Amino acid sequence: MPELRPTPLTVIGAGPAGIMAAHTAAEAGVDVTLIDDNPLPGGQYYRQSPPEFKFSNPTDAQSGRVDAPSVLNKLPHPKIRTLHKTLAWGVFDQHNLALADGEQSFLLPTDRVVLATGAHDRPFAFPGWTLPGVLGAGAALRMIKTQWVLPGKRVLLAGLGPLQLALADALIKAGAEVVCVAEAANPFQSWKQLPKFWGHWDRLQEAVTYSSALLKHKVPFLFNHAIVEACGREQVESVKIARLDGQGSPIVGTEKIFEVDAVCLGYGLLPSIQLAAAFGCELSFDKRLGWYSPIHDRNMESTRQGIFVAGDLTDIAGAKVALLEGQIAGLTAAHQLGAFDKKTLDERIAPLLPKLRSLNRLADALREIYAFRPGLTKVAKDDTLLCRCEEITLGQVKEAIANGATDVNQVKLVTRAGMGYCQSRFCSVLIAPHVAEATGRDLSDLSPFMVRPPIQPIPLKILAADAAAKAVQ
Amino acid sequence: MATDEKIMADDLRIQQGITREQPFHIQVNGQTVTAYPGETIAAVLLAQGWKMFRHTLLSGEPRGPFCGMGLCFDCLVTLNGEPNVRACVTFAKPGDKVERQI
Amino acid sequence: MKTDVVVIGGGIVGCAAAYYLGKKGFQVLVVEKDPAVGLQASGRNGGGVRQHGRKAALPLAMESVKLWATLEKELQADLEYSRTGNLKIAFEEDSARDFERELAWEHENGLREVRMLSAAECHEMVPGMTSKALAGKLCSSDGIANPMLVTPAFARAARKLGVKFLLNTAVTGLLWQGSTVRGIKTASGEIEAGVVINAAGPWAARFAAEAGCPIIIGPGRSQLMVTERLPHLFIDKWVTIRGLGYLRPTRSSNLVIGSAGTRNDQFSNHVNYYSIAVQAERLGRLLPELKDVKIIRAFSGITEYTPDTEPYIGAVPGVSGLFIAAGFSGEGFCPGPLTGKILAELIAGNDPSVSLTPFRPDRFADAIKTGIAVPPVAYPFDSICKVWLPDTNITYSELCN
Repeated sequence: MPELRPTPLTVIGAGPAGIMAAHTAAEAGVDVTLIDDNPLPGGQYYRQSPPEFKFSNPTDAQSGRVDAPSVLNKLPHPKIRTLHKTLAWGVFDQHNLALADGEQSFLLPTDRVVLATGAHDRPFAFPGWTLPGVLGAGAALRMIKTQWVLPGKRVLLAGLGPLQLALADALIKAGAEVVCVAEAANPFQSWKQLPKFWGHWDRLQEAVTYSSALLKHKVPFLFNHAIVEACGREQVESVKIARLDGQGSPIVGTEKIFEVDAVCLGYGLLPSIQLAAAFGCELSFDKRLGWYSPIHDRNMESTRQGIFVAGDLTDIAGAKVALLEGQIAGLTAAHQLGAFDKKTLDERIAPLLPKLRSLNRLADALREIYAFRPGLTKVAKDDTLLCRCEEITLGQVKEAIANGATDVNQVKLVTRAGMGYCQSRFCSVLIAPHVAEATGRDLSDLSPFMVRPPIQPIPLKILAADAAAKAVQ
Repeated sequence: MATDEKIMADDLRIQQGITREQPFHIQVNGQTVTAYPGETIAAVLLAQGWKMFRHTLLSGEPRGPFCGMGLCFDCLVTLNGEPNVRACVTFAKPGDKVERQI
Repeated sequence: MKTDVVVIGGGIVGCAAAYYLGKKGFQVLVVEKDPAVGLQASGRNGGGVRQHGRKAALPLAMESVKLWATLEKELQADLEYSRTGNLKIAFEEDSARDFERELAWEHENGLREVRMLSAAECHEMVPGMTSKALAGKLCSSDGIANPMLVTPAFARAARKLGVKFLLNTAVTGLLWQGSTVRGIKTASGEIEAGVVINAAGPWAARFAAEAGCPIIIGPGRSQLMVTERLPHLFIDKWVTIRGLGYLRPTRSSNLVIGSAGTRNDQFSNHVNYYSIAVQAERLGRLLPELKDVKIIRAFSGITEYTPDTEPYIGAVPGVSGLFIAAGFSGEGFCPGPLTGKILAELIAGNDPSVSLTPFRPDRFADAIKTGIAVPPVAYPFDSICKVWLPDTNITYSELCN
């Protein structure tokens, strides 16, 4: 690994937001290091299939996104040094970024940083959710669009949000049978949100396209329903869904059973905030997201001066918003690095704002319609696992709270929940509501977790291989 | 609904619209399995309809891919003797010996 | 607010003291600056319940181990305590000689279950080491426990006895009536109490100075890495490897890889990159089978050291109503519970069950006041291993600061 020269701007994450941030700053004359842990850029939205796959339709190589070339073609760029397959795993002394490629770990000093670390599937716990064949909707979409393998032949979708429609459409087009889509939202309660869809004809068109595919294949689409159980021995064989009451709790007696070999859970996305927390950016609780995201101003700057956040990391608002936020972050970072003055910065950001506002209005509407329903936490039973990695049940979590644990961290210390491989990515959000309920505190009052390096598990040998360590007796 | 011609029997690979390169073989728990260049180990196993990749250490429960992006560590297999390798972010190579951690 | 006893610091010593005082019927308030108890050294140490290797604190440690055997029942809690022994391995003559010196002192003090090990025995107990061990020392009545469970268990048991806890509250000073302590000051108000215990660890100095009994104490660092669960744990006991740190298996089959005894000038509880990289490199060389093992988290806590690496325990001389228990120099986990019990005994007017002479709070006070021959704080790990970066002569401690 050659000695890495630090650059004035470091961008972490080569998805829509990251690529735009890097490119915008590079065009303004700033040297950029763009870091991504995948083999190819594009993030999740423009996730690229392996080069060994050849497609009759070229856009299929980038998950079917027609605008992919316009974004991906921004790389390579003479002023952007892209580090692929490189994991950013920690921050030391507030500005030294710890990176790991396949061979070794090394520190890269940073000046301005744009964090565009995206999001991952939100876990949803119910009896049987850990059975093989039950996977996240994002995971299923990736498997279909990037690897061209179906997650199953008879699939049930259960979730909360428009991602399900896209997934159902992809499954149907690929020849799988979608037995049912259980949508937990009750959108007719949110009729006030309809005006916000005005002008977003492309999104409405998408919805119509997906819906007609479902109609054509006679796929039952049930609003106000959620999955309540998955059964099977070595993998999922059947599932139960149920109708929800006003709070979102399942109504006993309304269960429907389906035989399936795969279940896709689309209960939303959670921002990957670990690196932002490692950099010391303050997080705040977003009520509709139902989780934490980094605080930022209109220029996408976090509470730490010079550290910017953009894309799904800030709120789940889609790729178009991510592209714009990335640009704004890149522009502001470039200005801070002396590329142009404040007046120019404002002039360059101004044309982006109306579109961003309009998109955010739509995103707000969707967030309102698809807000996480508190009653859904009632689906898990006492013997349902909340922590997959360490195999801790809801019952054990309740016991820890009864024994005096008053926040998520204390539950973690006593039960080991969150101490496993996923480092609480897939359990913190499940545990917190129970702590809030038992202690009478608001979810927004609980501190989510403590982020410690490494933010993803790394082998000892990678740490050991650092050049500095090599030179040591 | 009858199995669409897009899927070959017992192979969950999507066939229409894609040309894969020449396949190679890997071993999965001693069984010879087809893989295509560019596929992850998870894709190779899922294409066979195998959802269960391992049993957990504590209670021996079956697990398989969940997040599909290398964060949940549920898709762990033993690859060429190295345990706890994430199948969903590891590309299959000719001659790989995979063990589902049963 | 008024109570019988205020304890400054919710670490293992403070919470244990509160518990034992509560048992004796005292009204107690524990004041802790962090959002929860046991978040510093008490929760971020290796979990060794160890006797051998102690100097003046050996009798304290031996009595402590007797108490540890009863703790799980007393506190009605699983502390993951097991007595599988504590092993030290030396790769150099200097260390081997240290072991022999320790052994002599330990036998003199009646610690029978400790013996020297041959090189072969070391390799048998820790299979796979690529460097040839010189000698080892094993104390079979030593053990390990889970630090993250112990302080909260004491706190929980104390609460059941009516002890109150004030969290997120820093103590800013003491209240005095002449030379009698009458309580403490915090940012949110004053609390009156007839007795105050200074169990503030690295932050104990200011309250000691205020009482006219200054102590020499400096911030240290305890740093740990925790691995994924290992399908086969190759050790069942704590193993100290001179020049590298220590290894400790957990109940859930993870391996804790730790180091302690370095300076921490900034009172930082951030992990130091170079020190974990160096440790990983040494460990990977010594035990190559661990190279592929994944680290799931690394964390660091603030400890405190004194010039003789012995704590200050007892009534603070020259004033009344003030007690101190701090300065455990990276070795507070084992004696923590008993120290709390001893404080309760003293406050109740009884003699301590172990002699506190070596731990006199004023043993450096004269030197400090006169400024003559003031001993520096001792950081043990510095003397054990020297580390160089190319073209420099940086010590391990400097690397960590």
